[in-house]
Amino acid sequence: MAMFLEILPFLMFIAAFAALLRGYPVAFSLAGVGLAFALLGLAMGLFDPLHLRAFPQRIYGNIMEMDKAILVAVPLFVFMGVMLEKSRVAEELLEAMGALFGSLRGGLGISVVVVGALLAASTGIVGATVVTMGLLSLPTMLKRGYDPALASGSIAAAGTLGQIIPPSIVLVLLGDQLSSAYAEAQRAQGIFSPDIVSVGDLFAGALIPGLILVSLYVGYQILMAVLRPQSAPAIPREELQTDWGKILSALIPPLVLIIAVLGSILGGLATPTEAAGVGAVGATLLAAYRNAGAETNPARGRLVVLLAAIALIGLIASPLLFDLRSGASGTGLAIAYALAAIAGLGGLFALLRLMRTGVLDTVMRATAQISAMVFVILIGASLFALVFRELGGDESVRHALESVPGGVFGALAVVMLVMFLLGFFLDFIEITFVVVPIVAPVLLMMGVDPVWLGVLMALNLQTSFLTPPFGFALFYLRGVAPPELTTGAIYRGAAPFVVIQLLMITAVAALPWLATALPELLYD
Amino acid sequence: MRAGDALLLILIALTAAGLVLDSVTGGALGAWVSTNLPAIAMVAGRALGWIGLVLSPLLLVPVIAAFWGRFATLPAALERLLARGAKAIDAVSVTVADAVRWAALALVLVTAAIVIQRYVFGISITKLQESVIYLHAILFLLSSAAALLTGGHVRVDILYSKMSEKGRAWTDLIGTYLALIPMSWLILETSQSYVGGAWRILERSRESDGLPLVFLLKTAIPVFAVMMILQGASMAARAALTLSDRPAPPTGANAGDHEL
Repeated sequence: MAMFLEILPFLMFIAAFAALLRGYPVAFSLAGVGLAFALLGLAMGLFDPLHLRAFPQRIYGNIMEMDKAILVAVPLFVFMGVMLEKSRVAEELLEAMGALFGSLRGGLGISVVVVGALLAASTGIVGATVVTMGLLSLPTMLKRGYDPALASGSIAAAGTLGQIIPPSIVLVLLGDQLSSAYAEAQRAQGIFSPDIVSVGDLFAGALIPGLILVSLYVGYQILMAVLRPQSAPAIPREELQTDWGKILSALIPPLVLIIAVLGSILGGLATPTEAAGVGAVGATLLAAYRNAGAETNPARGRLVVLLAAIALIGLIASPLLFDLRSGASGTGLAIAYALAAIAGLGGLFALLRLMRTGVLDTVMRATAQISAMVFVILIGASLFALVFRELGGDESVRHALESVPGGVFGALAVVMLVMFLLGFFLDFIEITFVVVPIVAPVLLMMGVDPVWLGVLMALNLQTSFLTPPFGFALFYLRGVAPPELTTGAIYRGAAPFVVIQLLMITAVAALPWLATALPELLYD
Repeated sequence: MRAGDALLLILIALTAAGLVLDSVTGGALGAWVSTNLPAIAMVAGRALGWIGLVLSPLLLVPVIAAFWGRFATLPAALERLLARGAKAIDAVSVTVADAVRWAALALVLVTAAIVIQRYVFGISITKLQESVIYLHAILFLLSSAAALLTGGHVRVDILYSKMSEKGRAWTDLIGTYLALIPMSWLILETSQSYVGGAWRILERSRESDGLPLVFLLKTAIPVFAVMMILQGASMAARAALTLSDRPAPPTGANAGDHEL
């Protein structure tokens, strides 16, 4: 019996795994397994039904309370990302970077990585990036004689950069879970003036590893171009025309958004949620300026949207000139109100433009759907975690992790290995909501730095997008790749990038300052 | 204009009319509401509970039909009931989701407005800040049922994608009765005291200048549960039709839409 009690929580994990594999939506499968084990626990007198009564309160406290405002960043970043996708930012960037690097050997591969990094830093939705590049760059690369494995691996890997380069949805969700775990760990240790870890810390922590990954990816492209020139041929220079105007018009919008969103978060000016809101407005204005979704783009409409954008930028820049917060000066206030009115009216016009082309509708619908998917999984996972905890799962996990040889480092290695293996089958959302709240408090109590842990986990989850056979990035690429490109080639192409990822994880594990230096510099 | 847009406009118009009436009567309407609403809500809630209890045996129709259809031909009347029931439920879920999709846009605009107010004018309005959370909660809770219809909730589809149509139908049927409906029922059952308590005192924000509508926000939780049970029944009805070799109404699914 005692033996059974000890393994009950692990049985729960196995049952969840089996239920998930059956293919019913994850959110409800997790809740269903939680409930089944709650009933089992009730029958064996191990479980107090009172704990289930707290379920609605948990839903409210986990997602709907004011101090969970950070989670609102998720729909906002999704809104921004879909809007950017509709404004064809990726297409223009690919064309511009192709013109810039195409004449080098391996240049198309480099341009794919650079575009992936730029899109990742503006919002980073893996699926959209991989699909766009798979539709645009893959055919070009194949036509130019690129090795199919190299081409598809580069595209899939470049797409996953969106998960590690801030701002990213993985980091938002992971940051939320880790901050609860950190608070819990410190409470358990009797620390009454607890330290906090924020999503902003994780963003700062992931930036350097993310940029190193980009350079490793580019380095791999160069290496292949040198070692196997025939796998990454150059485009003859006379076929390329470098139009600097076009390159600038492709680069400026994403760069402005990156500086505004990422800059204001890292500079401590805005919370990730606020920055995401401003970024979403920027993306909306860009989409309206380009009249996304329509064939024509009347110049007058473009002018109105441009005016709104300039007014908005002026409004945001105005605190540099006037201080309207204390003892407002008459003229300054009048100008600010005028700018706000122009931005508001122009913004309204921009929305009307997007409504006519149906883009607004698509964006709102996608945002609603993805929010529902993410947060209903959080609801299901919280029921699972609640039951797991009451059945003594926390204790079992703590015992298991503490008995791993090698102390903190051994425990961490086991957790990372488990997450990596789960990543073959499960989505990052489930892993974040189920595994992190269970293992993170234990690891944090053993003295692991929360930012370091978060960045390691984020790198690990990013890798899961790339691991054959079920990595999501590979899956999306398969969906849009021409049929003559074999699935085997996609897997073979992804393998070297998985190795690069593992190297990066090892590097961050060995040198924690890669993750912790920037947050300390910025926020301490 | 979609039905959901119309629903949203009607709700906005009603709210505006209520606010105007309140200010015309010098706050008398508001005072009347805050004294009488808890009692009215209690009666209405109890009535809704009874209606739900009376109707709940209908949830068994799809599972009965699925087994019936396996061993014998499904009666035409039962087939019609399943198809029409599923379509009616879908229409409700889609209408609600269409109405709340505007919350996504509102979320963006309100967040940007908060930033500008604070950063440029140095004003921060608690009500506006709290409304962001309300919009977010309503957005995901009330569009969840429609997401179930269109395949927006992720599945681990390693095996599911390789199953036959009937294998998938079994998955959907079993999952709905063993996971989706029990979870939603638990939420509904435990919400009685949690949300009921919020209505009894018309719970408001903990901040004195916050939104006085926390009881409405909490109500979204049981509404979510009811919508999920209904949409689960619709899914089960489709599965029952498929298992009986009958055509199931289309779902309008667009797989690959959750490209996170």
